[in-house]
Amino acid sequence: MSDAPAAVDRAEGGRRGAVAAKVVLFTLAVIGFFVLVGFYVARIVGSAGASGAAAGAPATGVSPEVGEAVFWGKGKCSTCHSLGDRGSAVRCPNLLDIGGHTDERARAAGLADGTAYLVESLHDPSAYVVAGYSGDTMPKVFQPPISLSGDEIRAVITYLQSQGGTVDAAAIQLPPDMEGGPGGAPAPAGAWKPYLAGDAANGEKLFRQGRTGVPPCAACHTVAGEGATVGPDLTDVAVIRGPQYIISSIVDPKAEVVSGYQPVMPPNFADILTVREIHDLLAYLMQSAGLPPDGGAPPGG
Amino acid sequence: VAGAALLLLAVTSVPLRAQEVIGPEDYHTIFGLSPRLVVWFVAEMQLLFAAFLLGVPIFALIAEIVGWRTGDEKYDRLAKEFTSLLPVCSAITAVLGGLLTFTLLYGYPQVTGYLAGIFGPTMAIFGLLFLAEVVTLYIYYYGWDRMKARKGTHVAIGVLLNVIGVFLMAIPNSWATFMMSPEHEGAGLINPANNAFTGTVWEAVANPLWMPLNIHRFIGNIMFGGFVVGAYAAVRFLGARDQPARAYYDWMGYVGNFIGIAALIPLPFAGYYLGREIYSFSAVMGNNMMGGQFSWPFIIQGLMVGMIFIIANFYLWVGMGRIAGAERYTWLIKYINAILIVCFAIWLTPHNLPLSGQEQAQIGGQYHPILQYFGLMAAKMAAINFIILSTYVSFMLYRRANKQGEVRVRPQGARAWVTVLVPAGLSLYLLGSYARGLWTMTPAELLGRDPAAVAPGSLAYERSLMLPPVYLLAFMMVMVLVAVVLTFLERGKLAQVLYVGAGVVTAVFVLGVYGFRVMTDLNPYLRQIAVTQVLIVLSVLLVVTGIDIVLYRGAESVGRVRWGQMPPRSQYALLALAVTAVMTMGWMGVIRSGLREDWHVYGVLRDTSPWAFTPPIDDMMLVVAGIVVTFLFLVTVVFGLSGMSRGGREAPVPAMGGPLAVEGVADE
Repeated sequence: MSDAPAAVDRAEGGRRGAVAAKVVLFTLAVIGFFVLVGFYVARIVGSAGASGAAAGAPATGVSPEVGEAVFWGKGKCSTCHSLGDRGSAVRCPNLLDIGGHTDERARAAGLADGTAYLVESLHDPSAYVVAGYSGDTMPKVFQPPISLSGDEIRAVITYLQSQGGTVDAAAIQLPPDMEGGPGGAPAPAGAWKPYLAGDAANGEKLFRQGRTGVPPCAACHTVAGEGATVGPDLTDVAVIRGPQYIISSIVDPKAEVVSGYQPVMPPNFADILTVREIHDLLAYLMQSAGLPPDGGAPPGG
Repeated sequence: VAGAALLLLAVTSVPLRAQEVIGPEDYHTIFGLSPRLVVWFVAEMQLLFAAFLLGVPIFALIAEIVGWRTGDEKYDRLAKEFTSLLPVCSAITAVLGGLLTFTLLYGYPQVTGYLAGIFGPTMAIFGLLFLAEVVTLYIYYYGWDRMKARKGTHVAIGVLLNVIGVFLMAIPNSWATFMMSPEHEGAGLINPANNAFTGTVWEAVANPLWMPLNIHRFIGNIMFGGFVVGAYAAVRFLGARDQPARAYYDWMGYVGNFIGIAALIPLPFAGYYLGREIYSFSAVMGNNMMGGQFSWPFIIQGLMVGMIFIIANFYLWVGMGRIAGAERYTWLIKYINAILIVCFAIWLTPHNLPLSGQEQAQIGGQYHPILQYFGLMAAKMAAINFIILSTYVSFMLYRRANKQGEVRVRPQGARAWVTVLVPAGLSLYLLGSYARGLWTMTPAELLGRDPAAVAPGSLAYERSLMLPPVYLLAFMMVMVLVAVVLTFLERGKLAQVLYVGAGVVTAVFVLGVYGFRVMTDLNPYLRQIAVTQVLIVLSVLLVVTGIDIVLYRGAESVGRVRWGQMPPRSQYALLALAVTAVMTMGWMGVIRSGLREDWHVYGVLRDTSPWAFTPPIDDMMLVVAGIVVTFLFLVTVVFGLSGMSRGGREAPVPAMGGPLAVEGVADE
C-alpha cells in the first residue's frame, strides 16, 4: 500500500517529463523552421556556404565589365537605379540607354559633352536632378560610406557610356577629390581642367556688378584692392588654391570655409549662375592671379 | 558592471594612433574564434537578458497596479511571481555585460577605446544606474509583503524601477546608434583629418537614430515581457496536474498574451519610424536595408513579424472557445483569417526575386504580371496596416466576447467624456497637424529641395499629388467628430463600426491604390502617403478603444469564463509566440548592426579586420538560432533557480472565478 503514492509520483514525474520533452521539441522545431528558411533563402540568393571575405574581392581596371560589377555591387547604384528591365529600383531614374542621352542632357546643362555630364552628376549628384526625383537621395560615391576609387568611378562611367553610347575612357576627366578612394591613383597636381574657356571680361563684370538676380561677388570679396572684406581676398586665390577649388567653392560654399570667416556665402550660386558664367568668373580670377584665363580648357569649350 | 564601466573609463586615456586608421594588428582572435562572432554572441545574449530585465518589470508593474486597483489578489501574486525571477536575471545580465566589455576590449581595443573616449562619462553613469536598478529591484521584491499596507509606496518603487530601466536601456542605445549614425547631416562634429569627434557628449548621445531605437526597443520590451509570461504559463499549463492549476495558468497566459499583443499592435509604427529615420540619415544605408544587401534578411524579418501576428490572432480565436457568449462573434473569424493570410502573402512577396532564364521565359519577363505589384512598397504598406487593423478587431471581439449588450454612455458623466474625448482629441490633433503640414508646405519643402531648382509646372503637379491625402485626413477628422456624437447619442457600436470601416477604406484601399500612382509619378512622396496611413490607423486604435471602454464599462456578463478549458494547441501557440519574438529580436539585431557593413562607426572608422564582411544568410541564421537556443536554456535555468528559492515547492494556485479578467486590464 505504501508504494501507491510513490507510484503516483512516478507516473506524475513521467507525465511531466513527457510534457517537457514535447515543449523542448516544439521549441526546437520552431527555431529549426527559421533555420530552414534561412538556408532556403541563402540557396535562392546564391550565397549558401559562400565566403563573405571572398565575395568582397574588388574588381580592377577601367572597362565596362568592371563598371558593371561595381554598378551592381560595391557601388550600390542598383539599389536606386534600374537599367531597362534589369533591376527593380524605382527611387532614381532608369538608366536605360543613358549613354545615348547624356549629350542631350549636357547641352541642356551647358556642359561640354555627355561624359562631362556623367562626371558632374557623380561629383555633385544634386546639381542636375531629373524632374520628379528627389535631390538628396544620391550620395557622393567617392566619399564614405561607398568610397569608390577613381578607377572604379571611371569604370562605372564607361559602363554607362556603353548603354547606347560610345565607350571613351580617355575622355573621362575626374576632379581631384574623386580620386581619393582606396585603390585609386592620386590625381597628378594640376590635372584638373575647366570644362569651358571662360570670358574674363564678362567674369569681371559679374564680379563687380552682378546681374539681375545675381548679387556682385565684390559685395563680400576683394580683387586687386577693390571690394568688401566680408569674405577672403580673392586676388591670388587661383594660384593659392587652384581653379578647381574656385569652381567647387562657388557651387558648394559650405564645403570649405576659410579660417577666420563666417559661412555666410549664399548657397544658391549653382542655381542662379549658368555653367558658362561660373567659368567666366573663374577666367577673371585666373587672370587676376596672373594665370592663363582658360586654365587649359579645351578650345571652344 | 560598475567595474567594467570603470575599466572602460580607464581606456579613455588610451589615445588613438596618429592617423586613426585601424589596421589588422588592432584585432585579436578570442580562443581562436573571430572576435566578431564572440562579440556578436555575447552582445546579443546580453541584449536579450537586458530586455528580460526591463520588460518583465513593466509587466509586473502593470499587473500589480491592476491587482491593487481591482482588489484581485491573483494579479498581485502574478506580479510578485515574475519579480522573483529578476534578482537572478540581473546577476546574469551583469555577468554578460562584464563579459561583453572584456571581449570588446580584447577583440577590438582601438574601436572600444575610440568609443570610450567619446562616451566615457555615460559609461560611468550607466554603471551607477545599474547599481541603482539592482538596489531598487531588491527593495521592490523583498519589500513586497512588508509594504502590503502601503501599496501606493510599493507601486511608486515599481515606477522608479522602470524609470531607471528606461535610462539603462537608452544609454547603451546611444553607443550602438552612434556607430550607425554618428552625427546629423552637415553637423561637422567629426574631424575628417583624424576621425576625432569634436562635439559634446550630449551631441554624441542624441545622434539621429537614438530616439527612434529607444522607442522601438521600449515597446518591443513590453511585448517581449508579455510573451515570456505567456510562454511560462503555457509550459505550466501543459504540465498542470489538476483543473485549478490549469485554470490559473490559462489565466496567466491570457494576461501575458493580452499585454504582449497590446504592445505588438503599435510596434510596426515604431519600426516604421526607425526605418524612416535610417533612410533620412543615409539613403545608402536605407536602400541597403530595404532594397540592397539586406533586402532578403528583411523579407525573413517580415516572415517572422507576420507569423507573430497570425499566431497571436490564432490564440485569441481559440481563447474565444472558453468564453460564454463568444459564439456571437466566431462567424467573423474566417473573414479575418482570410484577410490576414492574403495580407501576409503580400507582405512577404519580394520585389527583386532573382529568376532563372527559364523561369523568366515562362512568366514572360523578370516580373510576374500580377504578383510584381505585391512586391512594391505601396502594397506592403496597405498589407501591414490591414494586418494591424484586423488584429485589433480580433482583440476587440475577444474583449467583448462575454459582454451582454452595451451600457449607456451619458449616465457615466464626466468619466465618459474624458475617456472618449481625450483619444478623440489626440486623433484630431495628429490628423489635423499632418494635414496642415501637407497643405501649407511647398513640395520643395516636403522633399527638402531648393525651390529654384524645380520647374514651376512640376511644383504645381507635385502639389496636386499631395492633395488627396489632405482630403482623406480631413475626412477622417470629420469621422472622429461623427463617432463622438454617435457615442453620446448611445450609438457607440455604430460609431465604432463606422470609424473602423472608414479607416480600412482610406488607409488600406484608397491610399494603398493611390500609393502606386505616387510611386510611378513621384516616388519620393511615398513617405507622405505612408505617414498618412499610419496616422489614420493610429487614430482608429485611439478613437475605437476610447469608445469601447465606456461602452462596456461594468457591462453584464453572458456567462463565466471557463478558465482552463483550452486545448493544448493554444498553449503551443503561446510558446511559438515567445520563441518567434526572441528569434525576431535576434534577427533584427543582425540587420541593424549589419547595416554598418564594413564600418565600426559608419562613414568614419572603417573595419579593416578580416571579418568585415556581411555573412551569408544561412550563417547569420545559424548564429541567431544558437543564441536563441542558449538564451531559452538559460531562461529555463532562471525559472528553475527561482523555483529552488521557494524550496522547490509548488505554491497553491489561487481559485479562479469572477468576470472576464480583461475588464481589469483594459479599464485600468
